[in-house]
Amino acid sequence: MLFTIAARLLGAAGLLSIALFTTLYLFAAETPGLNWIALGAAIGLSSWVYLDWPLVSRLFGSRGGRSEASAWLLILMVAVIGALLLHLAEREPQRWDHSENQMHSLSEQGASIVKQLPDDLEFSLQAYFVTLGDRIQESQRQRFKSLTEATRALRPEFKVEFIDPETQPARASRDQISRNATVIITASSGDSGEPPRSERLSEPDESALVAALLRLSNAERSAVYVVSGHGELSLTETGPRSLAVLAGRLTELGFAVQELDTLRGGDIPKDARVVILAGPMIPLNEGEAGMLRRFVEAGGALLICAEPKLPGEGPERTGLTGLESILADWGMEALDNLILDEVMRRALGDATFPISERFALHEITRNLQLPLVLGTARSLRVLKQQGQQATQVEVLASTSEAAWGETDFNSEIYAVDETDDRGPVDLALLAVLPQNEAGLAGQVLLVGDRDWLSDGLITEFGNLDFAIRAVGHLARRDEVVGIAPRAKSQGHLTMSFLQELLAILTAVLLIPGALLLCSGMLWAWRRNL
Amino acid sequence: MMTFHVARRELRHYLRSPFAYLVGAAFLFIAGVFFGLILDNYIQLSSSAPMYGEQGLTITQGIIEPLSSTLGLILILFLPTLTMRVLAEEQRSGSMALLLSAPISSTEIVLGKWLGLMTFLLLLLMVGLGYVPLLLFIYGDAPLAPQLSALLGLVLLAGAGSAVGVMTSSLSDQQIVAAVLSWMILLGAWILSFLDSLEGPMGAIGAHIGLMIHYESFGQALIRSNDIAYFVLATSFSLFVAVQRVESNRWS
Repeated sequence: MLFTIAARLLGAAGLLSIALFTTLYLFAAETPGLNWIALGAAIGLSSWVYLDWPLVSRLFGSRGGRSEASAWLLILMVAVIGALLLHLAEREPQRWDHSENQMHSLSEQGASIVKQLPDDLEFSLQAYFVTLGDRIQESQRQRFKSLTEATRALRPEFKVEFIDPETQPARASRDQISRNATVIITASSGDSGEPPRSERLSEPDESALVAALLRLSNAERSAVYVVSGHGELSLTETGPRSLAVLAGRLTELGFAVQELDTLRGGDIPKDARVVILAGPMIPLNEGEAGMLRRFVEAGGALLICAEPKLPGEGPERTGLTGLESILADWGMEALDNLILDEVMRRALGDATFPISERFALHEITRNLQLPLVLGTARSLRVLKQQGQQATQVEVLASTSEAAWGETDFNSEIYAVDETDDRGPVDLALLAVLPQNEAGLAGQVLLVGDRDWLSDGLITEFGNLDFAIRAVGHLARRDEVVGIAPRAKSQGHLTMSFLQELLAILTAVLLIPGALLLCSGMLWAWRRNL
Repeated sequence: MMTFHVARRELRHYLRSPFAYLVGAAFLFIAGVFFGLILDNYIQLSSSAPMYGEQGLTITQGIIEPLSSTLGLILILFLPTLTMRVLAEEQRSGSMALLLSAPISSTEIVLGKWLGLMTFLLLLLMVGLGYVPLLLFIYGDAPLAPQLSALLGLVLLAGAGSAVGVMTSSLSDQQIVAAVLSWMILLGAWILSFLDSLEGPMGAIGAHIGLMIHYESFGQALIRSNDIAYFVLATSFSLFVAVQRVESNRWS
């Protein structure tokens, strides 16, 4: 008896091994030990046939048994065919995205870039995500998974591997993974003999992923220099005076960000695409100002953050950048005031954080979804210029009418008066110089504050988005930074309390109650039959 | 033609069964409670989001997706109670022998019973949940496509779930055994989806076989050919097994 039970257990194990082998072979062919599973299946089944021959012969000997056995064999065959079909269906699935914002697809620009990537490059992606993490980590993982699916729908040969750094610490250590949601993208060019190139993303969203793919397909990096030596925001400092967040994001988007000491003289490096002057506390000297002017007039781009002189600051703070006369030549002026914004006073209790209400229809601001918020800022003014060769100045962002540029800090009650700059006041101006002999037009973006670029404020509202779009536009790399995920629109559902209550009562009581009544009536009717 | 005849007979049975209405009422009550919670949550969220400068949820994200996901789970919990009797009852009462002696093939019997069950389920869903799209149209700006996508997912899930129920009902003449088997298969396939988070072969199996993985994308308004293939194959295979079981009963 025990012998027969053991034989049947072996047979059952053999059948299970066949099922396991088929499943693993189809869906995880790289699993080690597949041959052993197949061997186990063969041994299990043959042992059962040999040791439990009376049952086997009865099964296949009688007409009913034969029918039963052939039915099960047929079912097994159909199961294998079904699994094969499912495997084929999973390989390159078609997708139809019917969501409101097409949220499961790449943006048009992103899709266009992915489709145009060179065919001779093979892209593989290692995504380090904690798998059994908290809700936020799981949400990050799912979002990125959806993004890779959308990418693979356009480029099926794109290889994706999700790795849990906690279960594979050796691999994570080898790849120097120090935080969750880090992605390494590698591009190799097959037979060309060139070593594979790779990029690392720590904020792996659509724009970063597509930009990385674009960079890997052409290795050029645009240089961005940050002027140092005048108490500006710095790449090397930490805390609220640091530019580390912006620099990190720009690096991910393919920019090489480094500091530039203009006090040493000479010229701006030839590879510079953008120079950032992030709020100097000491004005630049004439030589430095001349250096920046030559750079812009030669077709370069400059981002100037002009910090105001704040009430209570000592006489050593002048609120000057040293570029005032040059800015005036280019049609712009940073006024000597402090913007106070009633909108932010009501919302946050602090009027010294002006918020933009209007954006111009410009490449930089076109797809921005959140406003720009500055901290202790000064207002800007466009100066009238004459002549055909005048600089074109455009107001990129301005406040609502509830903000003004306050000049009188001695009064106890702040209110707009005749000497103030009345709202709406301008927060960001973009000047485009006339084309030079080489056909290049320099650009200058002036913002009346530097805090918005710092680590303390850059991640608030739309600041980071505005900053990277601005740098991308100034560097003439709109295609890289302009890859915004699709704009999200909020759904609209308006119901009064009574309407909501009625809807819920209908769902919970009325309809189930009606069915319950039907059930009772039928029961009574059948009982009386 | 005989298929439709069997389907009509099966549908008539459900429409005259107090138990079917009772199950339907319980299903719609639980679905209604969840709908109420989801609706209230969405209305509160969408009214508070703009105050904090946040992007609110779309109706698909806030209502259709969570409702579709919840309905799927409730459906597979309730389905076995409706499907358990389909063939098991016929076998237990002996009416299966009568049916098999009639000039009707095993395929027609199984397909007919499945179609009858599916028609009842569709009627239940239409009558019981028809208020959802109506409310979203009257009081909101819900687009039609995501709702149709979620409905397609629910119909495919109902089709596969009821086919599994017909299959397990063909494997035993005990209704409770058929129901337990059906729950094991459906909930097992649902739970397999959680393996998707793991790495290696288990993760791959979860991603390919997990019921939730293939179902949830419909609620997100994303229709994928592999998800449709999964449900069509699961339905076809289950019905094929049921046909083979009925056929083998004919000869035993």
